[in-house]
Order: sequence, then structure tokens, then C-alpha cells
Amino acid sequence: MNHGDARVAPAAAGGFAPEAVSLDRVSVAYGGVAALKEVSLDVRPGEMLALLGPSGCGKTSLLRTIAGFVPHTGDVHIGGRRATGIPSHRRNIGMVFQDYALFPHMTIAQNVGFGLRMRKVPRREIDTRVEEAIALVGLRGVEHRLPRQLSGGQQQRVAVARAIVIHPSVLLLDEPLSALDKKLREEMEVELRLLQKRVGITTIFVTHDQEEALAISDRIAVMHEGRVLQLGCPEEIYDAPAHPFVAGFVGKANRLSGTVTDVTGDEVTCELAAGVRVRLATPRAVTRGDRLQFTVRPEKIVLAATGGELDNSVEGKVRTRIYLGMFTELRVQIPSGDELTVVVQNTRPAVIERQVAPGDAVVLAWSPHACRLLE
Amino acid sequence: MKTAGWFAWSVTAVVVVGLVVPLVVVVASSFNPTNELLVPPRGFSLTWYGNIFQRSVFLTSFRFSLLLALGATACSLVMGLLCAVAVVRCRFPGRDLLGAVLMSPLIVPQVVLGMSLLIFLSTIGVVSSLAGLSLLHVILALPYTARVLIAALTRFPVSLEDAAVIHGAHRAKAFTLVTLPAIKPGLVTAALFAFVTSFDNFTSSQFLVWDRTTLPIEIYSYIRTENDPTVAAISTLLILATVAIVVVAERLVGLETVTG
Repeated sequence: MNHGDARVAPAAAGGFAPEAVSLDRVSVAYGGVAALKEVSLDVRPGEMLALLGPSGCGKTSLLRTIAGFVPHTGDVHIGGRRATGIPSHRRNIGMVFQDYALFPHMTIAQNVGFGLRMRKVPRREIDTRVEEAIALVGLRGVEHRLPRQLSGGQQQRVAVARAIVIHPSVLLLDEPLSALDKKLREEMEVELRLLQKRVGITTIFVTHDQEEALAISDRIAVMHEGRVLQLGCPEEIYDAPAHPFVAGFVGKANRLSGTVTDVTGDEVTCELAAGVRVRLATPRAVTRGDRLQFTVRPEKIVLAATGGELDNSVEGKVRTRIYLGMFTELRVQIPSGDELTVVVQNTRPAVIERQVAPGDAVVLAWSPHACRLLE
Repeated sequence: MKTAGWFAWSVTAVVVVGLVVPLVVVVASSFNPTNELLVPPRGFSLTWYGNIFQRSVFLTSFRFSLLLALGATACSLVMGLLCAVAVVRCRFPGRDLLGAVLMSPLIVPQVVLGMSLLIFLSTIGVVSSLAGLSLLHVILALPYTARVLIAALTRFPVSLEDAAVIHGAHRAKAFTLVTLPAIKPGLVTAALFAFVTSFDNFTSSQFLVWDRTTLPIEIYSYIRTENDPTVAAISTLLILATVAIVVVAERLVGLETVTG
């Protein structure tokens, strides 16, 4: 289809469907400082994968490694073929940059058609494909304008059109929505997701925004200090964090630790400081006397009039209260000294129901299944 | 923002007057009908403009200066661009030193520069105005082109070039198709600086004049023997040409400011 393919060496023959992108023990270092540490990652064809992590976690380095912009050790395969050693311009990748990187001296149509011109596609075909791509991102009518004459959201669409018009093997998005304001960003999230499903391009996008990652990806790779800590679908990442960092970075989590005092079936009783007992369901075998670390999500805890029905009930005193409209966030101190964050849905208007105030004594309740054991 | 006070206004006024008054004097005196440099002129005449074309030395040295300035501009532009790419894009030992060396012709007194080149060139046996002055003028123009292009490249986002590469352009092609057009104001500004620096130079050029002279040196030797408004007429034409070039460049591409 394009001259890029001809230069890509086929991978060792195998009976399995090739992964769209596959990284095998990839390490990157800048001036002796490791940015990626032996990362292995397989991206499935057609999926939208988020690389999520705080700044400096290596997510952008990983994206730039796939793009061929950074020297690395280990192997990168794209579309089942070894890409290591193939220069960036022959990898057939579409990429959307954080600042969009539109060519300021070219019109929108020339920007979108750039990749096709480099591939020496016939003029007539370029025109139709550019027109299609511009229509696909909903920008018809701006073809002859310059990038600076468009709004941020429109420029973002042009950048997407320029990346997909070449029918890339993989689409890379580097924090594509971070320059947009919140409202527009949420609209574009939905739009990007629909577009990606319609076109079916394998997409890898970098973000530090966990809500964005949860909202639009098929799978999320949570990264920290140059490693992928957990790879899974949004539900797994949120409800079954495998690592304390993942639990803390994605959503909010209350972290507790205690000693096992009793084991019955798949439930254990764990004693925190000051004799506070918590029951938790655990998938792995533990024995009496083990020290356990576990988390409880704030929204899984309810305020109970009297405890009992949810198995765990702990008394506490409200320290702070933050009213957020849709819900109220409370910080409650329990006798063990731990401070738990609790999110209460505001199902009734504040005018008819008195809200809990700092200083109030409350009872917190949650299910043993809401507790997540950390490794 | 605070509005400028009386002090700021006075300083600005003094500077502007100081810059403009000599130009007005030169232009006005060039129209004197008699062979005296008087302001205001006693009448209006283009006699001295005619005189420029009567004397072939002016035309010959003008042609030589023009040729020299064009050559120095081209060379210093290419070298300045390469230096700027190295300084802005690459990490290597001695990078800061390179930046300092590039600026050094601005610090070394021109007399020293001219003298040392004279000694050096005569020692190795090069006795030609063209060779010596070319070398000198490239050295003199390089700090300006390098400085302007470093500023332009620093401001240019590398992601633009990366975008061109990832979508199928070879790195060199991406540079010519995307980077060069984007820094065009910088290139034009650098070229203007280089041209003016070379065309104007008098102090260090004097040392390297053998078989041919430049226009500034020709003007200087003229006013040592004659005292008529011919040189004022030449100056007026040069001012006109400079203003025309700057206006056209600004209109066509815009000029890079020399900051950053």
C-alpha cells in the first residue's frame, strides 16, 4: 500500500495473530537517567490503549520509542514486523502532538495531505482522501484556511485528520486533549472514542488524566517510574488495583493496614490499631498473624444509622466536609487514628435534609467485598 | 501597564533626535548647488548626484562592495544556520564554548581583527582584496546570522519537524519543507544584518585592501581630498536603498526580533 511496508522486515513466523504493537524489554535512558526500564507491552489490533501516569513516569518516552524518535534497547514490533532500526518516516505511524504541531505556513488541506504527498500518492487520490478525512472529523469548509485561523478544538481535529488520512498501522496520541478547556475536552473525548471505533485504528494515547483514561480506553497501562505497573480494562484498574501506586493514582483510595486475627472461609478479620476490627474478602490465602494492607474506595463506604447490614461498621467523627454539588466529601476519623474519605451522594436536596457537619459522630459501613488487598 | 513618565519620554526623544538629525543633515546638504556642505542647502540641485556617476571609482567600488556583501551574506547565512542547528538541537561537550566563540568577533576590536588577518594573510602569501575581505566579512557577519538564527530555532517547536517525519518525510526533507519556511523571518533578518555588516564595514576592511577597494573606503579617501556634497549624495542613496529593502522584507515575510 505504501513504500513504508516494503522496508519492514517480517517477524519470526508464528501461528498467532500478530499484536498491533509489541514491546519486548524496552529500555530508554537519557544521559544515564533511566526513563523506561525493561517495559514489555502488547497492544491488540483495533484497541484504544491509554498510557496513564504522572509526569516523568515514562509514558511519553514509550510513545516516542514506538514512533522511533528515541534510541532504546529491546525490541519494538509494529503490525507483527520488527520496527527496531527502521527510521520514523518509514514506520507508517499517525501521530497527534500535544501542541498539535500543525504546519503554520500550509493550509488545512495541505496539512492533512502532507503524509500522502510524502508517500507520492497520485494528486487526484490525495484530494479525495483529504476531503474524506476532513469530513470525518467534521471540519468541512475550512480547507483553505491557515491553522492560526482555527480554534484550539478545530486545530485538534485537523491534527487527527492529518494522522488518520495515511491509514496508519497505529495511531499515537500524545496528551491530545490537554490543551483544551474542560467542557470541550469532554466533548472531544466522546468524539475521539467514536471516531477511533469507526475507523478501527489501533490507538495508543498518553494521558495523566485518570478520568480521561477511564472514559475512553479499552485498556489502561498504569505507568510509574519507567515501568508498567498494571495493564487491564478500566474496571480492573479501578476496582482491582494490583499495586499501591495504582490504587492511589487512579481514583481516591483509603489505605488501611492491620493484623489478621481470624480466618473463616474466604473472609478474614483484620484488626487495626485501637482494636478496630474490619472484615474483608480476600482472594488469596492468609493466615492468622499476617500483616495486611488494603484499600477501600470512598464511594463504597456509606453512612449508616446503625451498623450491621454491610458487615463492617465503624464509628467515627467528621473532621472536614466539602460540598461538591452532586456529592459531599467527608473526612472521618475512626478510633484507630486513620482518617477515611467518604463520598456521600446527595440524593436529597440540602434544603430539606440537614447535612452532616464537622464534629458529628457517624457510623461508617461497607461490605467486606469493597476491600482490596494490596500485594 | 504603567504609562511612560516624562523621563522615559525625554530619553526616547533624545535618542530619536540623535539618530535622525544626522540623517536629515546629510540628505539636506546633498542638494546644495555649490560645492559646500551647508544646512539648510542654498537652493536645490542634483549636480552631486550626477557627479557620482562621473567618477568611475565610486561605481567600481560599489560593485565590489555589493559582490562582497552578497557573498558574505550567503556564506555566513549557511554557516550561521549550521551553527544554530548544532547549538540549539545537539548536546555535545563544548557547546557553550562554541556559542561564545561565535560571538567573539563582536568583542574583539575591529582594528585587532583587521591587523591580525593582515599579518596572517601576508605571511601565507595571500595578497588579494577579494580573498582577504571575503574571509573578514564572513567572520564579521557570522555572529549576527548565528545569533538571529539561534533565536529563531529556539522558538521553533521541534514537534513540527517530528510531525513531518512521523508522517513520512525524511529528516532532511522535513527540515526544508517545514523548519526553513517556519523560520523564514529569521533567515531574512539574518541576511539583512549580514549584508549591512559587510557593506558598511570600514575599520577592519582598511587593513586588507590590496588591489580593489570597497565603497566606504573609497568615500573616505574622497573626502580627504575633496570637500563637496558628492559623499552626501551617495549617503542619501544608501539610506534610500536600506529603507526600501527593510520595508519590502517586512512586508513580504516579516522580520525576526533579535531576542531570546
